This record gives sequence, C-alpha cells and structure tokens, in this order.
Amino acid sequence: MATVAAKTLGFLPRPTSKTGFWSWVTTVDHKRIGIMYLITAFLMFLVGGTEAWAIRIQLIRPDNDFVSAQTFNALFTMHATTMIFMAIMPLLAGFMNFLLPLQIGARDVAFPRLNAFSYWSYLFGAIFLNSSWFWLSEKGVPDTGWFSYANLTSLKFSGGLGPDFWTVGILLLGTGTLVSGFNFIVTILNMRAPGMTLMKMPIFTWTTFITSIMIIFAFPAITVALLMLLFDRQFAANFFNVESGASVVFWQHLFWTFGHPEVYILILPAMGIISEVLPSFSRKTLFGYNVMVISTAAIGFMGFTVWSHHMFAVGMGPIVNTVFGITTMAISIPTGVKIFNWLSTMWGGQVKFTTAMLFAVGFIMLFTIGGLSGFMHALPASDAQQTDTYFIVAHIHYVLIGGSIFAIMSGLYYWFPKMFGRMLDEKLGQWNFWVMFVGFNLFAFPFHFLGLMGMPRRIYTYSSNMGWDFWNLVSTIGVFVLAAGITLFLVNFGKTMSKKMDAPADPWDARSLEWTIPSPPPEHNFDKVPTVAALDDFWYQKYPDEHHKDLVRPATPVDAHGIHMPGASWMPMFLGLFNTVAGVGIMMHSTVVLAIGLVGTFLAIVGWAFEGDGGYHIEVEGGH
Amino acid sequence: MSNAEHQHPTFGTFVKIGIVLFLITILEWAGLLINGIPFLVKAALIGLSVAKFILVGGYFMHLKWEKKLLAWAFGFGFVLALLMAVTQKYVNMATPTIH
Amino acid sequence: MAHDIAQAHGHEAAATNTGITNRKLAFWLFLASECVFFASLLIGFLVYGDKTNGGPGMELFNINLTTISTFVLLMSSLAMVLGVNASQRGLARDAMKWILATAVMGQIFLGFQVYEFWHFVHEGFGLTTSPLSTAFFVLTGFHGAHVFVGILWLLSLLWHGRRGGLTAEKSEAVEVGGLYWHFVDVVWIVIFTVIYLLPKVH
Repeated sequence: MATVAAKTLGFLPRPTSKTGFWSWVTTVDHKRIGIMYLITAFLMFLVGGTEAWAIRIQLIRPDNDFVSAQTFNALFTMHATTMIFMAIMPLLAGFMNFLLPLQIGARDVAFPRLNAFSYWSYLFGAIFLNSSWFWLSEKGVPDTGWFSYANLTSLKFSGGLGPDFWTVGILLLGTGTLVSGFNFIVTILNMRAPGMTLMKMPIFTWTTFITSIMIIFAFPAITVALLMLLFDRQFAANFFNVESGASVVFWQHLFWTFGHPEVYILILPAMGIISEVLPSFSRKTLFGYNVMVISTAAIGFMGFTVWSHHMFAVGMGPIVNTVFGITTMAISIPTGVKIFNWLSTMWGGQVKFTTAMLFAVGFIMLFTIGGLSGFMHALPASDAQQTDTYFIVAHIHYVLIGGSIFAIMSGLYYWFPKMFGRMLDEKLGQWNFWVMFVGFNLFAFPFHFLGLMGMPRRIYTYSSNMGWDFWNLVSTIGVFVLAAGITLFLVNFGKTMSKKMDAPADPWDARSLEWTIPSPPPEHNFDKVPTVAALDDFWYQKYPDEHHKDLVRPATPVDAHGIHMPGASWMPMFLGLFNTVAGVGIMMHSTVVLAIGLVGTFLAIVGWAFEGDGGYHIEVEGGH
Repeated sequence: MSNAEHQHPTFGTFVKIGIVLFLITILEWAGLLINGIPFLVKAALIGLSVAKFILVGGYFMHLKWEKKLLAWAFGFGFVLALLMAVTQKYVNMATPTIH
Repeated sequence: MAHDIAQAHGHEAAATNTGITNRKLAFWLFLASECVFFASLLIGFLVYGDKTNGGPGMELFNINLTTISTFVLLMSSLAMVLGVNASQRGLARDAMKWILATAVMGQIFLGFQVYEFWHFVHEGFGLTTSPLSTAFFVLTGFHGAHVFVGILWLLSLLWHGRRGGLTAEKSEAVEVGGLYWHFVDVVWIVIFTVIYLLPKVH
C-alpha cells in the first residue's frame, strides 16, 4: 500500500544524502536533532542575554535614558519569553533528544519524524517571534510581560501587533513542545533495553519522563488561554473584555495553571543533569535513587496544585490563599529531599572538581538560595510585601540561571565529548565557572536588597532619592562579568572544535549506557542492543562488587534483518514552515498568506503520510 | 490485541451497548421534565453521563480489553482535567472581581 | 498523520516494553492531553455562566434539538466501533460501509450544530455578545472542529481502503481513527451534560 501511494502522492522522494547542509535539514536522527536544538537554543540564549544587557544598562543609574519606556517594556517581555521558551526549554530538550535513546539503549525515539517536526516548529516559532523586532510597525514587539496579563493585551490597551506576535509565537513553540512530550513518554515506556525496568533507568531519563508528562498536561491549558486571547483580539470575543462583564483574573488562573508546571518543566531536567554529574565525580552511586525518583514524581504532580501563589495579591480571599500557601510549602519538601540527596551523594565520595562538577555544586548552592526566597513567597502575608518587587526577580534568576543554566553548563561540559568527540578545555572551563559564578552573584544577589528596599519590577527608571543607585550599579557590573564568563565558554567551544576528535568512549569513568559506545556515537547508536541487570549496570561491569558480581542479563534480542534505521524526510521541516506561514497569515489578517500556509500544511501532511517507509538497514559485524 | 483475543466482543455486544446509550439519552431528556428536586435530578444526570462515558470508553474504545496502562494514562488525564475544571470554577468565583 | 506513526518503527511493535504499539500508546496520551484542552475551554463556560451582558442566556438552548444531535453522534460511535470490529475480522468491505455511515452521521451532527449557531445568532446570541456566548461558541466550536477533522480522517481511511477495503492488516489505522472519533463523542457527553442538561434542572 505504502509503495503504491508513494508513487502517486509522495511528491518528494526521501532524501538519502548523509552529509552536508541538506542532510541536517532532513535528518530524523535524534543525536543531530539534539545538537541542532542545543546550538539554536544557545544562540537564542545569547539573544536573550543581549536583551538583559540593554535592560541593565538602562538601570545602571537613576533617570537614565538609554532606551525609552516603551522599548524597555518590549525588552523585559522579550527577554523573559526568549529565555523561558526559546533558550532554557530547548537547551534542555537538546539534552533530552541527544541522551534519552542512548541512556535507555534505544536506536532512536519512537517517532523520529515527529521529533524533527518538534525542532522545526521551535526554530520557525523562534524566528517568527524575534522577527517582531524588525516589524515595520509601531509597537510591533510584544511588550506586555511574559505572562501578558489581561486586559493589558486587549486591543484597547495594546493596539499594535505585539500581543499577536506573542500569542501566535507561543502557540507555534508550544506545538513542538507538546509533540516532543508524547514522543519522549512513548520512547521511555516502550523502547528500553531488555532488562531495564523503570527503576533501573538513569535518573536523567526519569526526569525527562516526568517533565514530558507535565508538558502534555500543562501545555493544553496555555494553548487554550492563547486561543482565547487570539479570539478576543481577532474576532472581538469577550473572554477578557471587562466591559462586557468578563474577569481579568480568569486569564491569570488559566495562565498560571500552565505557568507553574512550566517552572518545574524548566528545573526538573536540570536536576536530572546534575544527578548524573554528581555521582560520576564522587565515584559513588546516587544517594537515595528511589527517593529521588519518588520526589521527582511528587514534584511533577504537586506542580499542578500551586499555581495561585502567583496571584496572592489579586484578592482571592483567605481560604484560597491559605490552601495555595500550604500546597506551596508542601512542594518544597520533595525539593529539599533532593538537595539532601545530592549532598549525601558527595559525602564520603572521592570528589573530583572538574568543570562539570563545579557547575553541579554551584547549582546546589544557588538553587538552594533561590528555593529559600521562593519558600518565603509561600506565605501570602509575606508575599504581599514581596510581590512585584525585585525580590521576585532575585528568586526567578536564582532558580533559572543559578538553577537551570548552571545545570545546563554542567551538562555541556559533561556530555560534550559524547556529542562532539572532543573534550572541552578544563583549564578554560575552571575560569568559565568562576567568572560565571562571581558574575552571576554580583548580578542577581543585589536584587534581594533592591526588592526589600521596595524597588518594583518592570520599572524603566528610578529617581536617585530612592536609594537604589548603588545596588543597581553593582548588578549592571555583574551582568557584564557574567557575560564574560559565557564568552569564555564560547572561546572554549571554538578552541575545542578546532582540535581533532580524540575523546574516549568513557572519559569520566561514568555509569550509564551512553558511555559504553564511541564518542561521538555511530548513527545507529548501539552495534548490539545492550541488556541490563541493574541500575548503573555499566559501572558494575567495570567494578563488580559483592552485590553485583553475578548479574544475569537478559539475552540480546536478534533481529534477522539487520539494524533498521528510519529514513530522512523533508516533511517535518515543511510542516513546521507552513504552520508558521499560516500563523503569519492569521496575524496579518491576510487571507492569501493564511491560505498558502494551510495548503502547504495540508500538502506536508499528505506527503508525510504517503512518502513511504524509506528506512534502510545497517549490517554490523558481530551482531545486532 | 494479543491478550484475550478470544473474548473480543462481538457485533451483538456493541449493538446492545448502542441500545443502552440510546435509552440513557432518552432518560436524560425525560429527567428534565421532573421539577422540584433539582439536587436528585442533577445527581442522576451526572450518574447517567458517567455511565455513558464508561460505556463508550470501556467498550467502544476497548479499554476493557486493553493493557491497564492505557486506562491509567487516560484516566489520569481525565481526572486531572476534571479537578482543574472544578478548582478553576471555585477559585475564579472566590475572586471578588468576578461578581 | 494517521499512517505515519506506525511506519517509522512498525515492525518493532511486537517488541515494545509495554506490549502496546507506539502508535496506540502515543494516541492515548494525546487523548489524555486533549482532556485538559477541553476542560480548559469548559472552564470559560463554568466561570461565565451568568455573564450575559444584557443578551440572551442559557434559556436559549434547545434541549430537544440537542438530544437528537447527541443521539446521532452516539450512533455514529456505534457505527465506528462496528467498522473497527469488521476490519479486525477481515470483513474489509463491511468496514468501509460502517465508516462511511460514521462519516455521514458526523456530518449530520455538524449540520445540527450549524443550524443551532445560525439560530442563536438570529436570536441575538453571537460570538461577541457576552462572555457567556463567547465561551459557548468557542467551546462547542472547537468540538465541532474536532468532529470536522474526524470526518476528514474517516475519509482518509476510506481512501486508504479504496482498493480491497480495510483489511485486517489495516485495522490498527482504523482503530486509531476510531479512538479519535469515540473521544470526540466522549467530550460531547460531558459538554451535553454540563452545558445543556444541568442548567435546565429546576
């Protein structure tokens, strides 16, 4: 059937080239997609960082006029939107893509083409949203904050295209994320190596699993909120129109129903990364693996029960405030458990402070500071003092930079040899860490003081008699030190990539399956499907102890046809592209553009369905 | 499909369930004719729609015969969605601006 | 999109850890996620139930008409499951007939909905009238859009089986299409109860 239809409807043949630009565009290889995610997201991280510079330069001294108030609004909106949706999430998605099949002993994810589609959705969505800076119309850039509260987003108060860019852009980015969520869950549930039960999976795989579950249940809520906003703005609907009796708080509830799980979507995989790094460089197994898994799952579930703590100031009344205050305090328990587990992992271990380890330890410290200030917001009475001040800005930067970004840096140093076949320079790496560590604290710690002194967030300037001059100056100096630290990473990256590939398969003497195969891994990952008898099975193969010396592993499954590899395809890229074109059409009120987008989308789906299997087989000496 | 293929429902089973669904719909319609005991009628209507839900999910969507994981996955999503809807209704109403 | 999923790794389906094919597992997860999607839309209706902005309220909803359209949708679900069953038994031609019947009944349901929308707009209850009307049209509209996508899906199944019918080896494609159709039905069961039935109880 497929071949017959392929002749009639598969209008583009499956591409077959293995190298060159177009082979990357049409790739369905999870490792290549992971690397594309990481590189794109790092570039977006630099874009968001540049926006942060502009914000900090504006605030370096009182009554500054480096940018206008309007531009400042656009800057902080795009800074947060970029960092959350286009930098940190896809950086983590890059790790998930690259590592997940390797860690569970699979040859790819469950749906390789959908995986590629996720990436293209992300790329085109990111380009779309950032193109708003170049849109030739007044107020083209989103400027309503990253949570775009109603009714600031109404046509009455935001007449330009800003909220439209934001709405359509996040819808596009969200589509890719949702699809990844389904893909990863199915991959983990269905494609683990023989013998790898759920409780023998590496901890990063566990955090990917829980994060994906959160994604598929949190993103529909934001999708609906965005669609409602779209209807309000495009068709004069009344979801958030106060004049017709609607409630602006309705948006806040819907947004944060997604928004708080999103916070944990940003941190759980980061926790997974450092839970891999710490045992490797302490030469000990992860302390309390079972507890770690349970607390990850607990955080995943409880993440859906705390959203209203973002809204203590809107007047929900004592009952609602109290309930959400309590759930917020409760969620810090599994988080605290994790911190003690990490500390206990290092305790008594042979700790080796490589760059990856430094970033992991830095994570623990900075994330704990961020967690403590977050915990303070759990008390509605205390939060009423802190809300909308720089104290909140301090909290969010400690958990997202000190937390997520430090873990991502740790992961980059740790898995770089596996991804690129080269070891990042350790000496530069140590500098990289210390400059970033000092720079970050210089940049974000003053926010605590500024917040307690009453400096509101999102203000574009302040007057000298407020007494905020000194700490703002310190913070701006800090952001440049932080940027210097990130530049050191780029230098290290450039320097390392000019070396020849010489990384060993297992440079860190590590514990999980990705280290059993060459660096970088071959296209088909594993010559032989690995079989597993214990958690950290690879470690016990190298160092059997009395509990793990006679492990019985399941037989290697035999596939008589050789190793089957999925074929490359143009369709994921086209589908992502034409979705975006359709989004542009909706935003511009252009029927022609919308029609092009929809027809293209339809054709891409038809092409997808009928292009045939297109896979090929690899024969490897010594087994499958 | 491998499990319990032999107990796969027959054509007749599905038709019977179709008839039950028809009867439930009639009952729901008739329930609205009853006045004066709104609490009981509401409870009955919710009960009837739960019955429809279970019949369609369990039989038409084969959950009864599938691996339990699928029922758990869908059930988790459904219950979470239900809790979200109920909680959202409550917290939105708790905010004075709504009135 | 129906067919793509199995092709990638179809021949490994038997060897999955759960014993469930990738395609079916992914699709059930998608349906679980869709529950939250529709619940979020339903919240709009729950919150804005009495926000009529001076326009008509829920007294407008016609229970007789909707009972009939609900019945049509339920029966389309019956036809669908019979189609899946026929396909699994290798009754390839019968499967085609049942699926065609499903698509026709889906179309009738949509016809009822179009009539209802048209009628409401004439009664002064349009998308922009009030928060209530907005919530109503967007919720039922998105459900209708799902039915429409379902009809396209069914037609693609008919195309899939245009030579030799929907044979047993194509039955998983039919089954997944069926899951989508039944889910749309299940969502309507909830919508019918919450929007049409419960507010009418006195």
